[in-house]
Amino acid sequence: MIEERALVQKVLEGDMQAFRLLIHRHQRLVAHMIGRLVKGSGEREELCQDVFLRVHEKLGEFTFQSKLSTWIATIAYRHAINHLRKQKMLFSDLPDEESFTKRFIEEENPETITEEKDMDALVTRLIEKLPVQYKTILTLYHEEHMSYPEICEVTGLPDGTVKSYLFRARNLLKEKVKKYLGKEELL
Amino acid sequence: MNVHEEELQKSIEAGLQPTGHDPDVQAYHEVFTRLSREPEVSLSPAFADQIVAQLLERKKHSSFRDFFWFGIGIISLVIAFVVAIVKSGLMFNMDFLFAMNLGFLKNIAGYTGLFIFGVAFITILNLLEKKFISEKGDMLSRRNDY
Repeated sequence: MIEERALVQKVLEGDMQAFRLLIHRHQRLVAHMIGRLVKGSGEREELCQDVFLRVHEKLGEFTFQSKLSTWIATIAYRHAINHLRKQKMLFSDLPDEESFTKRFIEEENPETITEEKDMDALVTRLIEKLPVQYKTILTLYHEEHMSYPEICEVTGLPDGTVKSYLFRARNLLKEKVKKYLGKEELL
Repeated sequence: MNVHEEELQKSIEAGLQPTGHDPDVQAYHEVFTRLSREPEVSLSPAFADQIVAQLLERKKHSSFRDFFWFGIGIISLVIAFVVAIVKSGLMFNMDFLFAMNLGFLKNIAGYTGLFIFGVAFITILNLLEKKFISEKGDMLSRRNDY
């Protein structure tokens, strides 16, 4: 297996086969990031392609201060945020915690919850409803197994904020799932 | 952060299995189980090839564009040079070629040192700009860019 530094060097020398290998190694990460943040499935693949084009363009500036995957995740995150900004979707301001929590946990029609047969589908749907920052941190922590410093680097958020958002996101999901489990027991 | 909830999250993450009927523990367990599952990724099988094809296309387009503008630059420079000579009093002397008036070139012939200094000054200024200002700009754009 080609070492990361050697692979980057080969790509910088114009080796397209090496770039294909780089894409294969990191496409899952990029697809997860974009997939979690952007709703329309049609534009997801196009955005993923744009991320790798950007990676190729900026690879000469990568200084190995972090892992290549962290650097690529940063590009994917900012690309997704820019896309959302262009779509005029709210992403920067987290909703007021108290009101959002109340709305998230209570406002859903109970019938809709009990109709959800599959717990996987329910959790996926609930994650989709979370604010962008929460979704990103959940993805990086649970799916990509990134450390807190790596998540801070990708999102540009301070350590305390990352930990707090992760806690709140999991807490919100728990409250909703608890409600679902309670309804299920009643049936 | 709620300390009890925080401790619960840590315990579930560490592998605590729900034993009793604590709905919080059960719900957290469900959430953590689902979060650790990889979502389906649906990229086309030719994903990498499509990106490489786009890159090659861009490269081709970009080298043609660079060559085009380089050519335009050289031609403009030659035209400007010729126009400057003609406009500054060019006079042919077919009998004695070295005596002909080469316009502004004849005028600056007496200031060779100043001319060389001017060319050297502009060259050094460009090199310094490229080394220091462009590098600083790159660093700034790298910080703001992704």
